[in-house]
Formats: sequence, structure tokens, C-alpha cells
Amino acid sequence: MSSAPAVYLDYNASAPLCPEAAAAMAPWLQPAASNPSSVHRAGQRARAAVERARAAVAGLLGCQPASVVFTSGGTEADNAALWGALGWPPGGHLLISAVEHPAVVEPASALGDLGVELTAVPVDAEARVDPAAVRGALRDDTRLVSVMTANNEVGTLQDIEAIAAVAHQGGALFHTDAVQAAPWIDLLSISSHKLGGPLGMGALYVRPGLDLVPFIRGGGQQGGRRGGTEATAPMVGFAAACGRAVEQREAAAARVRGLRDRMEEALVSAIDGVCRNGAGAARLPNTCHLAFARCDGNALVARLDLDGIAASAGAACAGGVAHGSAVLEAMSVPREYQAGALRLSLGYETSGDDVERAISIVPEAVAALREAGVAAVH
Amino acid sequence: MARVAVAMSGGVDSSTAAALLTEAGHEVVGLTLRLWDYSTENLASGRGRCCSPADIADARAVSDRLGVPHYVFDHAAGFHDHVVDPFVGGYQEGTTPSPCIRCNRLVKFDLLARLARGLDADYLATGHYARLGDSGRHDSGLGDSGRADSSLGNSGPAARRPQLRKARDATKDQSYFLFDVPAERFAGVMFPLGGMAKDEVRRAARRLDVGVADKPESYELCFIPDGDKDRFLEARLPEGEPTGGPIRHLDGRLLGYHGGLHRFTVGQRRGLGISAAEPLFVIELDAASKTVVVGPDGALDADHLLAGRCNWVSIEPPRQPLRAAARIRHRHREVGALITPRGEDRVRVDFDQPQRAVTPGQGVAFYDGDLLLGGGWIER
Repeated sequence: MSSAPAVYLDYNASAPLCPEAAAAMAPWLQPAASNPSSVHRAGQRARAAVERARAAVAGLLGCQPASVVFTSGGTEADNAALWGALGWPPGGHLLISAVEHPAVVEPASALGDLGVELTAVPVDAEARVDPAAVRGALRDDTRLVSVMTANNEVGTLQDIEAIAAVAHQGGALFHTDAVQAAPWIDLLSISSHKLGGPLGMGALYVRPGLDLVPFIRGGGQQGGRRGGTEATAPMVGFAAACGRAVEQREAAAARVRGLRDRMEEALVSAIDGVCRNGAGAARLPNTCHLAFARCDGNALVARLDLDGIAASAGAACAGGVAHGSAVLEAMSVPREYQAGALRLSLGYETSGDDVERAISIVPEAVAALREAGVAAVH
Repeated sequence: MARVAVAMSGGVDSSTAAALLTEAGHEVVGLTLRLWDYSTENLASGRGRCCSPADIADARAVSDRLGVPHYVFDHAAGFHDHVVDPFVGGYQEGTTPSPCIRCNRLVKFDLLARLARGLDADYLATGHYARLGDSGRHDSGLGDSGRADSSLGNSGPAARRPQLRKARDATKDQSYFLFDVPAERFAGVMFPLGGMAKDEVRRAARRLDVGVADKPESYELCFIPDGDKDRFLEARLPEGEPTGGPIRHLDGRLLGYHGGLHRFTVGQRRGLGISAAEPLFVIELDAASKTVVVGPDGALDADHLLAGRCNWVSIEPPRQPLRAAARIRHRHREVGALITPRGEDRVRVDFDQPQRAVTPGQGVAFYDGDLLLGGGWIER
């Protein structure tokens, strides 16, 4: 590219690698072999680093290190939770929400093909799952309830505590695709790169005493819960990002929420034909989801990129082509607006200047696309 | 330097166009339309067809080599409505549709032009082999011959007509496929390859290291990756409705039965499934009675045709009869003709010599030398 976008507002897609993670990984990216399971001293050093990393991730989640299973990322953690909890061969009933990430929806659907009964609980216009609706959908043979903590597109936070309690009363396990630590959860997926750790790394929290069918079978690593040689460098980087999050998240959340609210108010008042999604519910402090009438979201993201703002029209997806959003559909956002979705997601590094740039550039971009007649491209 | 949006299919032509424009110092923005959902197709056969996942990946890789941004837009639904549905419907009506012409009018030079304007581009470039502008000079690369005189969005109703000419390389010329694009849409359009021969383009592709220089060209329709048109159509024809009908000789004799009008085109000899003393050709497809009418070679000749929905590119719509060279299909050798306007947008075309296999559904384009005047859709 001629120049990298100066303003990055796509943290929900991925956060930049934080300096702490880069520094922590550097020694493990040297040309020296180290399998953490090896007997020799190189292996011993790697093992120690991996276990320190596990403890750091546990620190973020508020759990015991032994409950942390490293995975290749959030998607694998979700897959491991669902396949693991439904047993082998899979059976029984699985309950998810209508706004889950594809990393939950796709394995759920595959389990459905194998005979698992699948129910998706609908959401309201703010993408909220009603715990009473979960209670109503529970069955005697429900093995797992999986509801995401925060929606990746619009940021809506679910009442995880209440939904987990409902699941447990019904004798089901509860899984959430989330970063929020919670002692009432059985299974929790977390991704490294959303925190500023490296890509290709994540973890599944498994409640002590829960016997999960392993999703990746192999050499018995991680207590037999996930086969495959442990990847020291990304684990250590992930841990460093977790460490940073533990230190900074409270203050960062307040600061980022202020920036987000200022940006959202300014954009909504500057542009006609716009709706906010998820703003009526408790939501992540960093996510602003807007939808514009008469303006194609994918074209808007392209134009903003050329104008120096990296954002997204919804979830970042394979091939770089945005498709209609199942989340917006489940929230009953009008069709005309669905095609004009823009997600601006902030992070630890987002500055007030970044937000001011967005405030000055986005309205002009929307106006230009409307002027050019680029409404819904489909 | 101008910002130029380049329509990139992942093939050598549009990739080279992007590379030449980048080399010339323009700020290039790559645009790719995803027009067909290949997710249910056999991907191994999808390569080399315009806008398959492999081609989109190629376009992105080329953009990365060039250091230019690249955006992909999913337009499968629009393409289906504008191009695929009428293609299927046209065969049901006993015509032989020309989907690439429709795609240029309703997809490429509509949506892409709007996207380009919305992205503040000054120009829209494509890899088509045709020339724009009125100098007529045979420049290679980016001379006047490759560019419209005005930039995107600067053409009002009063703007001058574009002067759309054939490509310098007659074997690559694609001007025929552009006859139905409304004249004002050529404002701000560039055809960087119009002044270049195909081997010059390949050489430029290698010199500029675009990485797809040796990729095979695609000849099939992009939305029928395996090239099996009949199977494609049969999967989309209304269910439960018989498609077959009689095969009759011009003289009225019933010679046999056929499996569907969509399997035939005027002038076709093979695949009739009938035996006769003389060679027989498809003369006409009668949709009302689902009849394939066959006859001897000589019956294929026509001394005139009627065309509708005419579009005039380089000249104002003629009020008087006009002499021009008529091309009745891609790769047809033009023939001198008298074009007589008949009402709002229809013409009668009288050929200087009878022409073989005038095919309803195909386009007829009119030329004055290299200059594409316009064209229309053959009705009969």
C-alpha cells in the first residue's frame, strides 16, 4: 500500500501486537529448538515458560492454571468446547443463541448433521438473549448451552451469569465465547490476538473436574486435553498480552468508552439515515456499530481505507468479502440499513486524535457514496 | 497524478492494465466483483474463470505486488438478476443470448463506475481491448487512445459523445461487447490495453512482474465453470415443464423430436439427432410451438435483419438511413449494410451480401472503419 491507514478502528477484528507480547516472544523466536515436552534442558526452559504463560492467562480469567488449555485460537477453543461437551459419539441437545460467531454456529451445525438436536434462541432488537427464553428451550437432554459474552459485531453484552445459572439448573453445561472471567462458567473461549497477543493462539478454560472429550487428539500434551507440541513463543506472547490486560483494562475501558461515546454521538448527529445497533443494551465499551441507509457498507469500508481509516462492515471474513450479517438479521435491523453496516471498534492504543479523524472523515465518505449512487451492492 | 480504479479479474489483461497504470505513476485502486457463488462448484475446475475464488486471490496477489489497495465486492445477486436470469430466459424463448454484452452494460460499466466515483477515482480502467478518444493514434500503453476525454462524473447530458474504436490488435478487439453501454458511461473510462497487441501485453506483464503472465485465457462463460451450458440451463429451467418439441423441415416434414430449444442455436448442424439425405442446419427456433426448424445450408442466408433496443455510442441516434459495416456476432467478418431507423430505437439492416445464420438474441454492432457507432439486439 502507498501508506498504511493512520487510524485503526478495527480492534474487534484484531488488535495490534502489543510491545509487551513482542518482547516476551523475542527470546523464543531465536534459532534454537525447544519442545516443552523434551527431557533436556532446552525443553525444561520451554516448559517453564509455557507454564508461566498458562498461569498468566489464568490470571486474566481468574481461574487455576490447570484449567487453561492452549489452543490455536478462539475458533479452535469454540470447536473444542462444543465437540468436547457433546460427547463421543456426539448426542443430546445443544442450545446456542441466534447471534453466535461462526466458530460456534458451524461446529453446532456439523454436530446437528451427526444427530445432535440444535436450538438457536432468538434475540431482541439489541441482540440480547433473554435468560427466560433459554429456560424455555432447555430439555432434559440438553448437554450444553453456548451463548457468547459479547457480540463481535455490535458489542452487546449478554447476562452470562443468569444464563449460566439457568443452564446449570437444567443440568446442562455452559460455554461462552468470551474474554470475561466468570467463576460460574464451565467452558470459556478466549483469543490471543484480540488482546494484542500473537495470532494463532488462544485458550479454552475448562472448569476443574470437567471431563472433556479432546477435540485435537495427539501426543497427550496439556494433560491429554489438546494434542500437539506446545508453541512456546505465541503462548508467552499471549500471556504477556493477558498481563497487560489485567493491569490496564479497567482504566482503558473507561477511557475507550468515553472516546467511543463521543465518536458515536458526533457521527449520529452529523449523518442522516443512520441507526445505532446494540446501543440500547449493555455492551462492550469499545464497539460502535452504525448502519446507514442508501450507502453500501463494503464500499464505505473501502473508501475509509483510502481515506486512512481502517474499519469493517461487520465481521472480518475469509476472502475479504463482506456478506449479509446474520447478527443484524437476528436483530431485525431493516434490510436497507443492513447493507450499510459500519463497525468502528476501538482499543487500548486508540487516541482522541484517532476519534476526531473518524468524526471528520466518516460523514463525508457516507455522503460521497450516496452521491455516487452506491447503495446496497449485492 | 490521477486516482484510477481498475477492474481486476485476476487475469493477465486487467492485471497488466493495473501494472501499466501504476508504472505511469497513477494512484491505482483495484476493484474486483464477485459475481458468482462458486461455493457449491467443483473448485478444481473453477480456476481461470473470471471471478472464481482463485481469480480473486490472484487479483489480490497482483495488487499486493503492485503495492496498491484492492477491494472485493460481492455482486452475485445483482449479476444473477441482470445477467444469468435473462440468459436462461433467452434460451427458453428460442434465442441465443449474449450475456457478456449485458454484463458490460448492467454490471461492469454501471456498478464499477459508481464504485469508482464513490471512491473518489478520477478514472475507471478495465482490461478491455478497445480504444477511447478521438485521436486515433496507435499508442502503446497509455496514450490518448486509451482514455476518455473527461473524468468520472464530469459528463452531463451535453457532454460530447465518446469515440469508441476497435483495439489496435484486431484479433483481440472487444469493442463489439461494448456496443450496448450507454454513451455517457464512457466518461472517465480508460482502456490501457486498447493500443497494444496481445504479445505486447504478455511482455509487459512479464516485465512488470505481475505474476499471472502465463495464466491461460478464459473463453467459457464465467458463470458456467465446467463449460456445460446445457446442464447449467437444465438445472434452472422451470421444473415439470416439458422442454422438448418437434424437429421439422422447412417444407413441413416432421423429422424427429428434440430435448429442448436451449440446446440449439441458429446455424447449428451437429447434435440434431436426425438422419437426412442432405446436410441439415438449424434455421429457426420457434418458442411458441417449441419447434426446431431445420433446412439446407442455403436457407441460412438472410439479406436483412431487424434489431431493437438500439444503443448509439459514438454518434447521435441517426434520423436518416446510414451506411455502415455490420457485425452480427463476435468474430463475424463485417459486411457493408444500410441501416434504416424504424421508430424510437429499432433499425432494419440491409446487407450488401446475404449473411449466414442471423441469430435472434445476439447483438449487431455497427462500425465506420474502426469507430463503433452503436448496435442493437437482433430480433429476426
